[in-house]
Amino acid sequence: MGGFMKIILKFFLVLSTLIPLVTFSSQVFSRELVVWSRHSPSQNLVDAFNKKMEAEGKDLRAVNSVLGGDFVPKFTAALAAGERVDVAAIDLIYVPYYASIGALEDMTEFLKGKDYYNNLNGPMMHLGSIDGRHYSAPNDLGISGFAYNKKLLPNPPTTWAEMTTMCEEFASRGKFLTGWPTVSGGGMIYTHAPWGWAEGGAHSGWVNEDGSTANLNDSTMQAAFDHFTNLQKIGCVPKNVAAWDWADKQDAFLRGELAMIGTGNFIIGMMGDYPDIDWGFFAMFSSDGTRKSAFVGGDLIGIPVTTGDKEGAMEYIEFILSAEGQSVYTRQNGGLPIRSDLFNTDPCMTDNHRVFLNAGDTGHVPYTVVYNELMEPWGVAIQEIYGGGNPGSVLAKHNARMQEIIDEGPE
Amino acid sequence: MRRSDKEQIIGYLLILPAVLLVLIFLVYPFLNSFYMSFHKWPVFGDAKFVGFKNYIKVWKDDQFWNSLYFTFLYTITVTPMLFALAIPIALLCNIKAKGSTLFRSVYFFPVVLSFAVSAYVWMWLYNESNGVFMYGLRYFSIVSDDYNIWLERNSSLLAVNIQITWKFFGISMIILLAGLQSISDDYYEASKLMGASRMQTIWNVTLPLIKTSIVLCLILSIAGSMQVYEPFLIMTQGSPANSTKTLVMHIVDVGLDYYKLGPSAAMGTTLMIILLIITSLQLSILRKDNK
Repeated sequence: MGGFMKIILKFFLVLSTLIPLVTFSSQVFSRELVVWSRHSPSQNLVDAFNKKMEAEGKDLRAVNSVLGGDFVPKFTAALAAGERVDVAAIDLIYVPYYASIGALEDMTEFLKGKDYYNNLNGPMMHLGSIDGRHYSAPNDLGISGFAYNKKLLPNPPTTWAEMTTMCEEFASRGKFLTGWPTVSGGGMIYTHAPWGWAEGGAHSGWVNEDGSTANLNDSTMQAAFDHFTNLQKIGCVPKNVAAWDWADKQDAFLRGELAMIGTGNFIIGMMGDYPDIDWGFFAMFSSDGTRKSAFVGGDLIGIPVTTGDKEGAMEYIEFILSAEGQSVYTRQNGGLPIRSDLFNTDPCMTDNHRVFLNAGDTGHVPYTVVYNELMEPWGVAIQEIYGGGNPGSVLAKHNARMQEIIDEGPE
Repeated sequence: MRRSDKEQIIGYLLILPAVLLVLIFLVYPFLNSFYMSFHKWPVFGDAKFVGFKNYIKVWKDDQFWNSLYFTFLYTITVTPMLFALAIPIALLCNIKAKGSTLFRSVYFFPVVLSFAVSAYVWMWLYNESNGVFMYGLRYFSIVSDDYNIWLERNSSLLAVNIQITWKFFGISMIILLAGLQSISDDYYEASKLMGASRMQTIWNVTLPLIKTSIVLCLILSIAGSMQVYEPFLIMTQGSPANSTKTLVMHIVDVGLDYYKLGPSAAMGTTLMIILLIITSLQLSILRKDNK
């Protein structure tokens, strides 16, 4: 970027960083870590870390900036301007891009030195790695699955054929079995694509393992879309589902109008607010019900190359990965540990949590350095299919576009 | 130093802050964007000159053409809607009657609302289950019970156009009102003496005399419509299937979501050129008419 542009960017970044600094710092410490994160619950982790540092008599404190939906453009601008960020908790799907442009520090030796190295979530570690080197570690998990209302659906379906039978029964009563957020590309990859992955295995139905080949038109993904368009035709899905966003289907479920919806483990935290719903959860499954899958989402944590205190950043990440740090997340309703050795020992884990954890075991998250760009053909494909298009031809058309994007790569 | 020179220097000094702001936030970004459009511009690392490659890429980008077409479609549909409401309301507000100032303020009120607020208000009005607007349409059997306005491009476009007309006709109304109030009463008296009806007076006297205001509104409306972003981002998110994705939405996606800054800058420059051509045409027509 041009020098003058960098100065302007720096000016605004310094301003935006100063505001939280002024808000959160009541005392000045000689080592202050600049932590950038997406979600507000991260503040609990930062508070717990600072308390630990205080108890240990260390002069290191973390200052958290929660950037919400603007995280990616702001973080990218910070990198371009060379702005100091010591720790960044990034939506995992963007990490391959940041790692590929050399924006993150190598953490391989640090992570391999930990006893729990082999217990760190596999799909998340895969996303943060290039040629066996790790550029990030799991921070928090967001695994997708299905929620159902036992008052409307006493037992969830276990095969696609069973789901179709249930759909016919619901349609005959003029009721709705399910609905989905067609206009939300992110929502659909989270709660819809895993049906295809369960049918065809990980790395089928979006991109292959290293992200070099698009396979959106994989026969298994097509089978999943055929199944759901069939439900649409039967009539157990609201007619306007093609115009639905995430909030539409979630609100319809919470109002008791839908018997089951795709969602994530975070919804466990909302159960208490909706006592009228008799909650149940299940993982997405293959047509014969023998294989499960999920979208393994969440944030990865890394050290940007613009850090001013790599050692301090390591100490912070070590705290997050520890059982103590993980318990901060899991104590919050719905939180899941990113270490498999904590699945059974963490007292906060319930059977509901384990539905998501088990789905995550065979879950998947696509590896690609052009995720955002691929979301466009994916999003359009879904809208065309549920708007009445033929799944086979639509997927083939947009698979070709995805391949073009992959071949072109990032700028 | 002569007094006039001194005054001139003070004059320049007084406009310097404004000139600096324009240079920093308008001229420099435009020139930099123009420069970027001829480069491969990674987030990290050095820029590389690629000639017209970014423009060729844009030329081959189907979504660019779809978005450009949709943006034109929006512009040519929303502009008449704005005028259809702004002109009669301006004429009504020009009548010297008790309470007309209050009405002017009320009509102008939506302009000061933020885009996001007004977009969400209208989304609630259009909501398929709870929206008052949809309830009304269903009540009079204009649409079916399960009608959703966002399912098709044209209905989505109409829905956003109505929201934009409601939000922005106040600006056009104020400009037109200023034009109306500059017309001398002599013209109306002469028209009355000649036995012209009220409609004939409006058509043959009022409208020709506020032509400059109309052209100004037209320029503002077209330039603003060609750069439309927030309403469609909030209300349609480009759906169904990107058919309501505007050109600026596409430029932002390519630049800030895909980090392809070169092609994004090339699209921005292209839009700038299109706007320059349209505005120049409008101004030249106005000058020709004035002569």
